[in-house]
Amino acid sequence: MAAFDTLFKIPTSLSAGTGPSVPIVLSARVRLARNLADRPFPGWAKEAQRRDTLSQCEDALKGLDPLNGGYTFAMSDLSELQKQVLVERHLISRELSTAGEGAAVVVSKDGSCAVMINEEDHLRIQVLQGGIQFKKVWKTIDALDTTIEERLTYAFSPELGYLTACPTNVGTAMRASAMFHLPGLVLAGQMEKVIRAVNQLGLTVRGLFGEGSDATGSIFQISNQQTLGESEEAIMQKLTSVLQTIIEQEENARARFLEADPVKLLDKLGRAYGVLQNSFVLCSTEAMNTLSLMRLAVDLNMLPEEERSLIDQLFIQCQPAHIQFATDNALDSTGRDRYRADFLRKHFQMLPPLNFEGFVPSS
Amino acid sequence: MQPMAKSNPCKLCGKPASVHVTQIIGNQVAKVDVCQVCAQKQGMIDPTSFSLAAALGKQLLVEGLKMVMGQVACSACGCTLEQFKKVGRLGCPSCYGAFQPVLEAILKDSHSNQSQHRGKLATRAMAYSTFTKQLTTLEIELKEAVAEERFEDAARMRDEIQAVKATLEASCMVA
Ligand SMILES: [Zn+2]
Ligand SMILES: [Zn+2]
Repeated sequence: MAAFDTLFKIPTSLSAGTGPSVPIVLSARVRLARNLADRPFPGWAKEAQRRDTLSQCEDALKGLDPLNGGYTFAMSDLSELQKQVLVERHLISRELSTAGEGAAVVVSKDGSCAVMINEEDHLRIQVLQGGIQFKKVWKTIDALDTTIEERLTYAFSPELGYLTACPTNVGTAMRASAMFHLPGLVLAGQMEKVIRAVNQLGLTVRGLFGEGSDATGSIFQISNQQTLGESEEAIMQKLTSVLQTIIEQEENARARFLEADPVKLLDKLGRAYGVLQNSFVLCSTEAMNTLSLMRLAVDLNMLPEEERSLIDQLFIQCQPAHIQFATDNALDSTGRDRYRADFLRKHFQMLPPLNFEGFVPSS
Repeated sequence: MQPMAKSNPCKLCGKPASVHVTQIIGNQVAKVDVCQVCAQKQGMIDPTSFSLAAALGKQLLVEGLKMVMGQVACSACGCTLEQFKKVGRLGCPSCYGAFQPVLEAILKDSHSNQSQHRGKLATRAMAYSTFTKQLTTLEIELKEAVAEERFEDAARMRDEIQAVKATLEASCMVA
């Protein structure tokens, strides 16, 4: 499928690939759930109704900025591997990848905007940007949503807001989430405390690659839970203020670690660099963990600044389906681990040695 | 009313049910299928003295009420509360009205006691529901006017109905 191959070639990155990549903060995402009035939700709809929903939504999305000139994929036209690639890029959910008749996704040319059709709700609109400027993300998604509403009649009640298949999403039907790189808090063993504090504020924290406070790669997603009774602006404001606190905590954790036990940190970074430069077999988990430490090394000026956005791309390119697709589906799991190691070794052997200057304590 | 399937099991013991009870509790229609034995035990046989709520209140207060509510179906899509509880998802937008008493508790629980939307408004959707309500009212009035042979009123209502329909179509609200 030519369109998919074109999409696959778009550079993709954990920090959304737009704008410069910065320490700690990776990306901000807003997702809106919308349903059409007077018709069953996708999970309850018959196949013919789902097909009809698809064609109505496709028509409504046609020519809309920023989707114009992008891609439309029906799940039924994609292979399992292609769907998995879209999941790894966060363009579709796992749920959509297994959804039946009429499930599709419309993706903008640069991959920053995607609309899932016939997932849990008729429409799931998402906009993703590097950094955590929720105002900018909201402006884009609000405008797109308003234009779609000019073409489709949404299921909406003045009391309950946007009606969704799951009552826990009703109201704004908005999920705002930020992606973070928090190796300092993880190394300091403070992540559990942070998760608890954030949960108490009604926000959810989860690891991007795996659950728990020691998530692979130290990458976490923080999002709002409540959707009813608060405006979109209020939700994003609350989230942003919590995020500012987390950024400060991460900065403090890094500073404290460097002061208390610099050798331990330098040793970790140096070993990770050695693994990436010299390995011949690398599983996905080890790759994520070592890449995570290299991102930290860039933040500490041990590697060139421009390396950060390349590392953000490597995070995605090292995912199993991405490797499998890049190699024409020819590898088994062992083969993928070898390919991943080769690929990363070639990249990291081109880099200058880690610059430990200023960090090595005099002994 | 939908015909009862012959093979419905008794809600209390699971044996084939032969007694089908329908009662209105509050603003909900509750339907329960039970077998002859259980119906007798629960005093369901004598319809004059029987009250579902009271019968269930004796022995099975919590379970019984859940069961009764589980039988409530959304008239728009046919989804029952039982099915909603199984998958955690509603059948259609009208389910919010059909299951309102039960949903209220769930909503408050998952949205820190909030029950009023304070975010963005879907302006077209709100206009649409205003127009469709207007249309329903006009159609009822038209029928009444025709029945009472008030032909001038009827003609005026037909015009109004046409106007509302035209507005709906002009704004592409009708698929
Ligand atoms: Zn029985
Ligand atoms: Zn329904």
